[in-house]
Amino acid sequence: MTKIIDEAEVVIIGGGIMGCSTAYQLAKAGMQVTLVERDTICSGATARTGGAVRQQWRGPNELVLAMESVKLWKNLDEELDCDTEYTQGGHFFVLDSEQEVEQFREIHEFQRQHGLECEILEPSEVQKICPILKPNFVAVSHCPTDGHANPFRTTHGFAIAAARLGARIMTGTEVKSIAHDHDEIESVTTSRGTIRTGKIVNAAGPWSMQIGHVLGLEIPVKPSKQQQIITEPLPPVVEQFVTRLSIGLYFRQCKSGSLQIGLHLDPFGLWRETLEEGYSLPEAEAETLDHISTFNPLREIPKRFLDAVTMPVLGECSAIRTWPGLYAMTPDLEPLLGEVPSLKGFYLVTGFSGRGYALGPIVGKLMAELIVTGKTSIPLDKLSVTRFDSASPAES
Amino acid sequence: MDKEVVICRCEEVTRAQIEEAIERGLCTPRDIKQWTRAGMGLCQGCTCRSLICQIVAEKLALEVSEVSPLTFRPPVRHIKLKELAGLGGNDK
Amino acid sequence: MRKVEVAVVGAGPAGLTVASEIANRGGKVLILDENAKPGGQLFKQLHKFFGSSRHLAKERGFKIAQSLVQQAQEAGVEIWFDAIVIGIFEDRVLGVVHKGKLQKLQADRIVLATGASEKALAFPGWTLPGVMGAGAAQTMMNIHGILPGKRILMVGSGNVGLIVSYQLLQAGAKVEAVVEAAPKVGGYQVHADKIRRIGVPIYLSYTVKEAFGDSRVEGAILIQLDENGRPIAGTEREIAVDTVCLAVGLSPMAELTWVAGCQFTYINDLGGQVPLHNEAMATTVPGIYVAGDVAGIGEASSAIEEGRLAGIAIAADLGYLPNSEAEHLKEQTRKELDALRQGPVGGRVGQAKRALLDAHATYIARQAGREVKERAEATWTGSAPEAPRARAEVPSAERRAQGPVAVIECYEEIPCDPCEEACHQGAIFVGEPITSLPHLKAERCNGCGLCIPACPGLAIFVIDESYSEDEATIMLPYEFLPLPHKGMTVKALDLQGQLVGEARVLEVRNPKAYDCTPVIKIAVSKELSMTVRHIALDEPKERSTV
Repeated sequence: MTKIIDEAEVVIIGGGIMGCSTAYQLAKAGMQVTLVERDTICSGATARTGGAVRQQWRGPNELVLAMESVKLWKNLDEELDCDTEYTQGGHFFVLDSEQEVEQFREIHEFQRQHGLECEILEPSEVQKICPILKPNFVAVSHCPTDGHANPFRTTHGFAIAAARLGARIMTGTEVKSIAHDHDEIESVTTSRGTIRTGKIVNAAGPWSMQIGHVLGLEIPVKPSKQQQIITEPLPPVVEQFVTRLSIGLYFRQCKSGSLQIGLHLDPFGLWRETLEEGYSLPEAEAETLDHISTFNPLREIPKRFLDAVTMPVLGECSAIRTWPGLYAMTPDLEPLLGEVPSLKGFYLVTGFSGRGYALGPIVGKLMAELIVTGKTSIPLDKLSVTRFDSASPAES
Repeated sequence: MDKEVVICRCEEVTRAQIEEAIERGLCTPRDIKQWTRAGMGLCQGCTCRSLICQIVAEKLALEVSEVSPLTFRPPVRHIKLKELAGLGGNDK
Repeated sequence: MRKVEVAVVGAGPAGLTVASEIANRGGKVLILDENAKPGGQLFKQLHKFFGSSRHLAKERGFKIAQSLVQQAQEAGVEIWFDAIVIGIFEDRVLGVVHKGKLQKLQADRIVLATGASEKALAFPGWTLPGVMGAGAAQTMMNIHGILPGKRILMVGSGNVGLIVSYQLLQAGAKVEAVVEAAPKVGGYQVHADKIRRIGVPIYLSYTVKEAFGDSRVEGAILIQLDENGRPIAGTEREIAVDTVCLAVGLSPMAELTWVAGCQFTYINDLGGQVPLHNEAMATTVPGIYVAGDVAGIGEASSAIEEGRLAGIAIAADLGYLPNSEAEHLKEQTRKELDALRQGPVGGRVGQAKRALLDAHATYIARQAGREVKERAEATWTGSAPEAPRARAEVPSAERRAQGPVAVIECYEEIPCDPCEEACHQGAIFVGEPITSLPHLKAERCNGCGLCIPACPGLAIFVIDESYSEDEATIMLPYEFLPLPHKGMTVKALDLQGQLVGEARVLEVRNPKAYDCTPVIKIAVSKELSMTVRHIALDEPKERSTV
């Protein structure tokens, strides 16, 4: 038994946006919380996110969450006393077929019912507000209240604010084992010692499955590798966050002026294999997925980007860095939120399948509500892990 | 060293800003880079990375060898998007 | 995607050597260099190099580069210039931007010989135009033919600082001062002597506090440091300069090595973060090797030997060389490297390299799950870095009175022996190890002076106290323009660059064989024969005292 170094009411595993947001809200509610992160704050999936704060194009279980989150985003700088660089410049989905346009008209209908206003724009209308887009598309779905922010500033902002309110943030601290007795949690043992606690929040993102394995649970989250490029700073050229599904491209211009450009590489393919063949990702592979950038995206990303924008000026702009990132994918691409029924006090805040960052503020708030009061102001039962019936202890 | 000395020339981050980040609890060069943008500019920290490590070592009473440096990623030199895309081409 | 057998990144001394070693044995090698011309750092080195004939000692750096390039081309090595390797990816794939396009290469073996980059020193005013790295100043001056400034402050007295100061003087700039934070000169004494005798002051335990100016450097403030390296308030001195060159150290240019996934360790004496490698220069990533400054800051000669080592290892690995022969050749090369890594500068590098090999072995053992025992301090037989300075022997007054004789003012253990080879009389002996101080057999010396231009340190003088009753002659090296002419009267300076008298120019020898090191014979008052070591055609400049 390792040395007891701490006692906390809640231990949060993972220092990304979800972990830090939850830590902040719990500390705000007066709970004694310790966050353990094996590397540094914002070093995992959150560090590589495109930074979109998007409400448009979410399933029914998420739309309300996203809209509530945007309300929090608007006041976040003040609340955290930190410049998150949040801006509401709008989000464009660039559509390349009539079929896509129809799909989005239906989505707009549904969104309107929840109070989210979006519009379909013709190329000529788009030209007026976003001249860098080459008018080689059919239409654009625009949501003016969408936007983007700086993931580093936001996450560190939450962590610093949490610490200010008494949360203990332990970086360089890896979870080794979790002791539980009769389905009740007793402690978490880390690389720096043991923390006595009755509640654990699994906010480990792409590595959530490994945390589950520590407990003998099968949590259906798999990492999917994506890649991005960042350019040198430019004068302002685009206000909106732009996504073009048919070619898997997205980009935005950061406050610094750099263009952040990324590719969605068939993330769902990963789960299709799993569901068909019962394949389970070996843990070692999950570790190395993050390690080395691959070559092809380095060519594909600029190629697809330059196809989609007016040239030649943007072709002259230099790429200065590229990195791989991971989505935490679930089989139905929807998040996993809530307590795991088979283990009291073990909460999941993961599986955001590439769309988590925007939900950071609201999820932290709801998780704090759940942990403190047992109830949430927005129902989360549809996002519980029970829908997979797989978060049960493995046969010993 | 004077606090107003610029450490990261590309992003014009001063020593004072870096020390302020450390005082907030951002204790590794990566944290400092994420918060202040030091090392995020065009040269990707080729000049300032060792200076940042030295400041962290000094402030936290560590050996420089104990401070994990900023990482490198491709492209290790900045390259125009059109060249990466294979659209440039001037076979002499 | 093009496949290559061996891809070498960097066409400097290490890269060119590894390529030749492999290509000469039948392997197919492609060198990729981001510059327009090959040779790496050698390309801009105008001075004569130390080392042995094996390393083309006494040749000027850029000529060594030319030789190595020729060797590589004759061996059938393919070289791409303006080829920027932007990344190393899985399965030894390289991304190369060449002729304006990104290309994909897949190599069986990769050698990263990417050299070093200059360290920075931050102080108020360091971002003013006019503050630059010493290496950058050297490139500007020697490659582009542009003088970086007229009045220079050199920060750092390592070999780079001393050599670049000398070259700035040759180019017509005035080096107002060299400041060195440590209490002793960082580079070889002979390099320091070359600039001291011209009148450049070297201030030890001093650093630059501030550079100031409106839109560019107009001056700097120097400050003294105490025994703990802390500035002493009240010792500030202003100096009028238009350029501040920073020669504060080099570190491995290891971006590609990092991106390829190699493991690193921090070793201060090798320049900071260095990639782990074994005795055959193989990193922790299979198929990827390193050689030269990227594997730890050293000299051109050790870069060449490391290139040789990696080349032999790879040639054997690919089947171009039987293993037994490879082992023998590697052993020989390692002995050469050990010989180079002796003396006050090399010794520290040798010790640091041993620490690097240890760190690599520890890493490999840990990966294999093996227990790692605490290793005893590696023993080594090189001379200790703090060895007391041995003065070279000076020919006796009696011998000096008999006729011309060489005075070799080289008293540090530098791995260097061109003086031995240059002497046709067999009067100079260095022997083994190559770091031994040269020994003069005065009775054999006929004062011909051939050793003078051969000495890369310009540390040899021929004195003739038998010239006349009141005068002696001195033959000295003089690498400056304009050259004096026979019959001229010039100023005579001592080792500190102080004016000590006048001299008459008797002879100016500048044959092609001297490779641009003219030898001037002057007549001085006899009592100055062991004092005068340089001449000035103008009034020696006022030296500011600090």
